[in-house]
Amino acid sequence: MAKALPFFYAGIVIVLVWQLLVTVTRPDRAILPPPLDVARTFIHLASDGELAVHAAYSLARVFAAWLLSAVIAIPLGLLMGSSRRLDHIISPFVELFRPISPLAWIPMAILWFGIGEAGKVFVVFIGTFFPILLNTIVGAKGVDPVLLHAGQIFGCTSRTALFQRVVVPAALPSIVVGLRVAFGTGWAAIIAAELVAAHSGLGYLIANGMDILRADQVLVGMITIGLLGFLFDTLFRYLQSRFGRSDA
Amino acid sequence: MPKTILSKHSISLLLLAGLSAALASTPAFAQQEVNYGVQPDTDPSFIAKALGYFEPIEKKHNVKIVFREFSYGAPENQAMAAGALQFASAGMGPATIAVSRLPAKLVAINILEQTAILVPTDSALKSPCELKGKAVAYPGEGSQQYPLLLKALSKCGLTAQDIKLFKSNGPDIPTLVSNKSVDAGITWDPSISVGLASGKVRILAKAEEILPIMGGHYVGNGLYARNEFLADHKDIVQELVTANVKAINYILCHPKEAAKLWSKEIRINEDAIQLSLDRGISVYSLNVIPTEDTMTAYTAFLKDAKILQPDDSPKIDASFATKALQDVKSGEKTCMETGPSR
Amino acid sequence: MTNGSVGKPLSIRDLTKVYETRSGERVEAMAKLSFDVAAGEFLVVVGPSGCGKSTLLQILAGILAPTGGTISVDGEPVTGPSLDRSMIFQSYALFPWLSVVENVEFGLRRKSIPREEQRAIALHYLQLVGLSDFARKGIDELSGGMKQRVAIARAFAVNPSILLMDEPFGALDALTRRVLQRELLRIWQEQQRTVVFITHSVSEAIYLADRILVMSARPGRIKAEWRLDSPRPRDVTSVQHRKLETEIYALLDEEVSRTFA
Repeated sequence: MAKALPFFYAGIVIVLVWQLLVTVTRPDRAILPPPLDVARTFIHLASDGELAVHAAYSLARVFAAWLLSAVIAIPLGLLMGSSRRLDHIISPFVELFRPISPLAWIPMAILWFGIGEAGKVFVVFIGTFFPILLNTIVGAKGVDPVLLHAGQIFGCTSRTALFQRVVVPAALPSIVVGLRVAFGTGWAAIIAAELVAAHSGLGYLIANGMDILRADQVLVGMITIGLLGFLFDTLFRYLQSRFGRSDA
Repeated sequence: MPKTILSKHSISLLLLAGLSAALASTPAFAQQEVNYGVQPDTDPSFIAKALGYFEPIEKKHNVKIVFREFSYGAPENQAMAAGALQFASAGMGPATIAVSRLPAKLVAINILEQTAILVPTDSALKSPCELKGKAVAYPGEGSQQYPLLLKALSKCGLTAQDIKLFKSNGPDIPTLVSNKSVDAGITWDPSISVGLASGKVRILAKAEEILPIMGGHYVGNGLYARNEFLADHKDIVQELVTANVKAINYILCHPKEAAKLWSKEIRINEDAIQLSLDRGISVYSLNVIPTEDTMTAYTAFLKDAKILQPDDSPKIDASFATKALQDVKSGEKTCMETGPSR
Repeated sequence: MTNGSVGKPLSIRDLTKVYETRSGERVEAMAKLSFDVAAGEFLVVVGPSGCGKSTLLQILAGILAPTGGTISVDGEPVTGPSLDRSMIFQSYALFPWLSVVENVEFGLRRKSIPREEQRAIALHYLQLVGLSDFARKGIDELSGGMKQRVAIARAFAVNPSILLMDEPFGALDALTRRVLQRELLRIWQEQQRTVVFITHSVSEAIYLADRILVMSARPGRIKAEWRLDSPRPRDVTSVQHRKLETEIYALLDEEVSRTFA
């Protein structure tokens, strides 16, 4: 709880400054609604379950893509990190595709997959795949060679045994970092994908709010996105501290 | 030393630049721009512009009327919310939202109908009631089409939950329907007419069959203006509305020529526009007055569809449209009140 | 618990190791190295940096293949790593994702003995190095000296006939080093496994060794040999030992200056 205190304090300051801004500049309701309006809309959307439904859609899409990415990228990354030859063969492809932001893939995704779920999951997949892959490779490559020696001497006589008992656990902290970062980029990507082509989700809530000049709804969407993103990042940091023991 | 001379020189240059900028921005010297939001459809505004009806206004008031084009209503409204537009022409959906939630007023309803539900030509569907469980493309909740779709469904005892909605760009919808990506689509003219002209789509239901609230027609497009502009330039607003009504008179009397002019302005095939006029997909009336009854009906309708909040109340000023009708009827040769089809 | 399996003899014949650096240079780490280690003997090898001591140990461990020559343990040739030849590293090489006792158990997992017994053996050796209280702790909670004690426990737990130690106390401060040297001797003396111990420190060599080998600079060869018969624990400051130290340093200085030449 004490850890949350700075965030509460920051939140209160933000609300106060916001209210001050509204009181002093008196903007149109459609441009900047007062905090109370937004709070009311938030409660309304939260209590009739609408907010939860949209949040669930966005989260479901991100999780689906993130899990798919993990299933492919972690084994691939471990192999690439342990085999120089494989690394040389696959790296060029990775380096060519990596700089293309998932957002840039949105138009293609719509063309290829239509406006259904597949397109959105695809966009998020692009965003989550590379951080997981790259961090896994770093983790696998970064295993202290002396640990590999110790592994061999203390019973890991086959490459598989060494891989299983030393490389994978040694790479785990990096893998967890990759998963955490990937979730963040995936979360950002889904919002963008939903802004363009969706019918549900928090990104859609924002786009829809803009369509009907409901800035309060837009802000509720933004706040929810921020809160959820923050929540999950905290959860991941916690997991990181449990599973990612730094090399002693 | 050269360095000091240069800095002195630069300072005086800066001062001069600043001064001229300040002078240039003062209203007394500048020609004021009237930013008029439009969308590329068969809007009388384009006819008024093409026929030069705005020139006397510009001369008289020393203003420049600048058309700002938007692809649909939501960004047009966002521009108006930001104060970048003073006057706008948009679908009645966005128009009503704007005059409910922004400091703006509705001054005219200048196009009627303009909306229809489309299906592929070979579709087995015969009425909107058969849309249950089907995929329907629509241009978003802030559009004029969405509430009409809901009304069509509610007449059959259905709701939005009974169909699969796909949000898409208005102009893309006929394509989505014709290539069977969706089972049906609702969009606005002239996209409807372009679709019909291709022969691949047909109309499942016209707007007037679903919700006739103005002279037996559905309301299509409205003109609205920001409050400050209405307060400061009442006469310009009047003249803009009158110019629109004069343009409508031209459309009603010379539909073929109007189709030609539109085709040039909005870059849509002349035949498609002609089809639109012939089949009454877009309908025009000299009477552009936004009456209480019409607006009450439409507002209730938007509130049911949860587009407007219960406490939203659109602000209307019917005076401009009333005077425009009087002026045109007395000053111009008219051929019909509403048309050009039928 | 474990029967006193005494150390086995080690025989190195004409050991050569040549490798290519990244720039393509051929480096001869050692040239026809030959020596024997008697069963249960504590052999210490001293030599200048880069003379190939670590390479030698890696080859003895079976994790590096020699370019030429043979190694045999009790007559059997060495072809790869084995739990019979365990190792202690200068940087401890403990697995950070495992607890202290899990680290000690690591080598035992390979053996076909039940898990409870593996745990019991591990705990026994932890007790031997005085770290029973730390069994469940993470290794990041340990000091350097404690970590090395865990590494010692791990190396002993697999009951090897040969113990290889690569400058195990090099990263520790002088006081901890003295304590651990004593501990090591104490544990070793129980079952007298064969030890090959590498160090820079001549006094450490004198304290620990039955026999000291001085290795030359690259390519490594055995330059000189001393046998120490004095009883343990030894006083390295005694006149006799001081004299030996001086002799050994003289030889080492020679070798070190060759690397600078």
